[in-house]
Amino acid sequence: MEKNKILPQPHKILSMLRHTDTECTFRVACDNEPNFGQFFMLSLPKVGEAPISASGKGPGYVEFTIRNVGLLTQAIFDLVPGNSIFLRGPYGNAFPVDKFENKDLLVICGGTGMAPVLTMLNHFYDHPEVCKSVHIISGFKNIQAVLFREEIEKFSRRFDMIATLDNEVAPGFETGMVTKHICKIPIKSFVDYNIVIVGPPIMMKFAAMECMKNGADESKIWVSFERKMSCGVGKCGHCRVGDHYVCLDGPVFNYTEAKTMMD
Amino acid sequence: MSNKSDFKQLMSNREELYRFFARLFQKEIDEAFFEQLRHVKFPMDREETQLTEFSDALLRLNEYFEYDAGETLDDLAADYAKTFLGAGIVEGHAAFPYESVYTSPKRIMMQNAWNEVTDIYMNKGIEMSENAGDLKADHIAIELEYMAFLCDDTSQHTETLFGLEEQKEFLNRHLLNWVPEFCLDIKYYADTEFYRMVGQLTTGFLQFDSFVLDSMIAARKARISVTRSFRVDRSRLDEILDGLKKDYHIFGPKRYRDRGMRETDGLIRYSEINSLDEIVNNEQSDFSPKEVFYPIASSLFRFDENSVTETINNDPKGIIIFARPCDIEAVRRLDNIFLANGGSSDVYYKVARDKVKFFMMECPQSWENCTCVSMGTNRTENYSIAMRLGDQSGYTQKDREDRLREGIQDGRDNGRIREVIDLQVKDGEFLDLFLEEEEIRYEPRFIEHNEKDLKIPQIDDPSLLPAIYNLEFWQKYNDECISCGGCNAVCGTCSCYETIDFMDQDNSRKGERRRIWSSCMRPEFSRTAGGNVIRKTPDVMMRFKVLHKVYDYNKRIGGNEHMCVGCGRCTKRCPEDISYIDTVNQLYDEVERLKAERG
Repeated sequence: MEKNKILPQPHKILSMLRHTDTECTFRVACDNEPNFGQFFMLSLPKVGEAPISASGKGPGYVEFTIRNVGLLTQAIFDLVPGNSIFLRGPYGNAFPVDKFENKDLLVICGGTGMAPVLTMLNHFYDHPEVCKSVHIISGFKNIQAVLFREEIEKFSRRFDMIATLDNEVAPGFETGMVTKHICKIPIKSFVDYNIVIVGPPIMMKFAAMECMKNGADESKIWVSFERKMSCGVGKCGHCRVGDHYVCLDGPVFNYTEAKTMMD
Repeated sequence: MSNKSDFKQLMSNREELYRFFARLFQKEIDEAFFEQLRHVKFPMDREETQLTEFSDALLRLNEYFEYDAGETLDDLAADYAKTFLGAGIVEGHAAFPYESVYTSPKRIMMQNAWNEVTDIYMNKGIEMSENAGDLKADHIAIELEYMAFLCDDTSQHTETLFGLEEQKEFLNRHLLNWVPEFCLDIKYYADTEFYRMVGQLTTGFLQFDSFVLDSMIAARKARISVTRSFRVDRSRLDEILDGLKKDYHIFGPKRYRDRGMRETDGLIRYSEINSLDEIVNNEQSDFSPKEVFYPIASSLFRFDENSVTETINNDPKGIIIFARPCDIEAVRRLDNIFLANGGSSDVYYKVARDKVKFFMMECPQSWENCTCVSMGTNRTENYSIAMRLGDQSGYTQKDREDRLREGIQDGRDNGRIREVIDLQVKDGEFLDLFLEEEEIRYEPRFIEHNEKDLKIPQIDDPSLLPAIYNLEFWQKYNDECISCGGCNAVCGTCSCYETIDFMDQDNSRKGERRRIWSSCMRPEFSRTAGGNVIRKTPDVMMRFKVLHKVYDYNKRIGGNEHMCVGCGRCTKRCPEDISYIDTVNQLYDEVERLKAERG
């Protein structure tokens, strides 16, 4: 008999780190180690289930940085360490980190788009020898929407870090969409490189186009799709885009493929 | 007694025998068990007398009880300890009842065999019970218990071949791989005639049972494909169905007069039936049969705040569905999603689906919106029985005349025309039911022509897709479509679902997660975290649905089949009279136009 892949199990919350009123990182006891960019299905009985990217990992635990945007996340915010959260996963593919070795890397993320790349960026932070250079452009709508302040500060110590607000001026931040800052990255001088773009569909599209305008090859660009699946294993149909299932074939796609995927 | 109950009886007898043998090795013999042994009945068919080990052992067993060997229960207990536990003798000189001891090079416990059987039990979802005490997973008693479990497990399923093969695999790869050698050791180390006899009896039984399994498997394989046709009185077929109800839930398209959207003739949907008269044969059902094994809402698991319990359907009965060819073909599309896509099976779907057998109903005519011929789903091979099921209201005058001409008039019953049903049996399981009926030459007749054709868009170059996505004609659906999702609900191949949690009314700490069908024609289908909706308007939702039915599914799964089977229910159901057929045909024309423009 085949294993029931959609049955979650309760996992204890080990600790919570509240960043702002609406965002919090939950460290959950879990031995299923996710790869960079994979997601889990998180749920609470009586409330529901949703896919959430792992934002960190360590021996015996996985971290999720959750923004309080809906019913489920609100209910998760009401929990305290020691409570259980229901988990299954990890699902999906991962960023091809082995391809990034000894090359330049540019990561462009918008809003919560930083969560799926956080584990990977932390990995490069701890192992600065892996990539030749790491550049980050992280954009937010306004100062209230800024996520991962500590990480941004931490990353700016070791990486070329640009944090920007769409249309606000604030100390420590540039102003303007992420696309406005792509020209500051010396893409043309890179010998070999990769570009990771994660954010809302429109932002990914325009950021990719801007990178190409600045000399990037589309095959060097990787994007990660966000969809709200109900299963994570290719059955529920919610994450289908054309003949692709984001949960099975993604969430990470090379741009040569991603550009053909239309909703 | 039906074959089915014979089979269940046999499985239950074997289960008992395995438990009996397990008990023999589990611990010392007590008074009660000794008495049980005196009266236990072993199966022994004349044909199998070539299995001399078993017949010798049975003779020996009879003799043992006929001529008192003078062995007391205390003697037996002492011998048990000596022979199986090595009590009081130099280590290594006993018949240690563990597979690892007999299959590992160093003859020690907890080796590969132990790992293997532990995995097998775990995959089957069973845990070692408390009263197993310190017996390890590869102890003979536990392995025998597992065979008993498999006997019961197999008898719970409609499709028994897999279960029997699973039993044979375990018996041959594990028990028979070491028990004969172990039993020879018993003969060598045991002091009592009782345990020496038990050794021989055990090997003999296992060999005998392996033979029984082989012949059951061979019989099933031989019976899988038969093709024989019969003419059966309608009333007789009703009797046969009545008999089948013992082992099967029988579903067919049934009319609900007080239901339905159009308030004309009610609603026809699949439901459990008691007689052929309940089946509506002269109309198409409003809903497809998918709801029989993939219901609109079903429980996935029950939960409280800290635990989950899988909801598994333990109903041992099978499912028979009276279905049209296109609807049977539609199930293959569902199978591809639920059993194949992503390389894993959905357990809930599989449990229900494995029970399903189809009784195919010929279509008396092609209905208004049928396009099965265009979709290649007018024919199907996947049925246990196919039949021409005229019903009273469905007979045209011409039908009756034809039947009279065919010579059925000799069956006049009280002046009325004898109602007969021609059928073809392809599933050996049902063959016995018809052997006394008149054997005829009958091949099911399939629809070969529809009033309407569906032209499948020929998108051979994916680079056409952006232009197809941007076609202006999609936009008219913003005016026409009201996003009710009715088309998805009646579709035989729409498989999408979402989950919802329900709380128990009497205990708010407990509840269950259910899955319910979901519709890609509703905006919330594509809602992501934070409330962003990816496909907001009917034009893009229609595009998403239609392209899946005639392009995307085929591109992913390959082969010739499309997701749409041309049943036409979506067109019939649409409250705004949007014709799916016109939509696809127009898309075809637009695609041809785009191709021509490109040159």
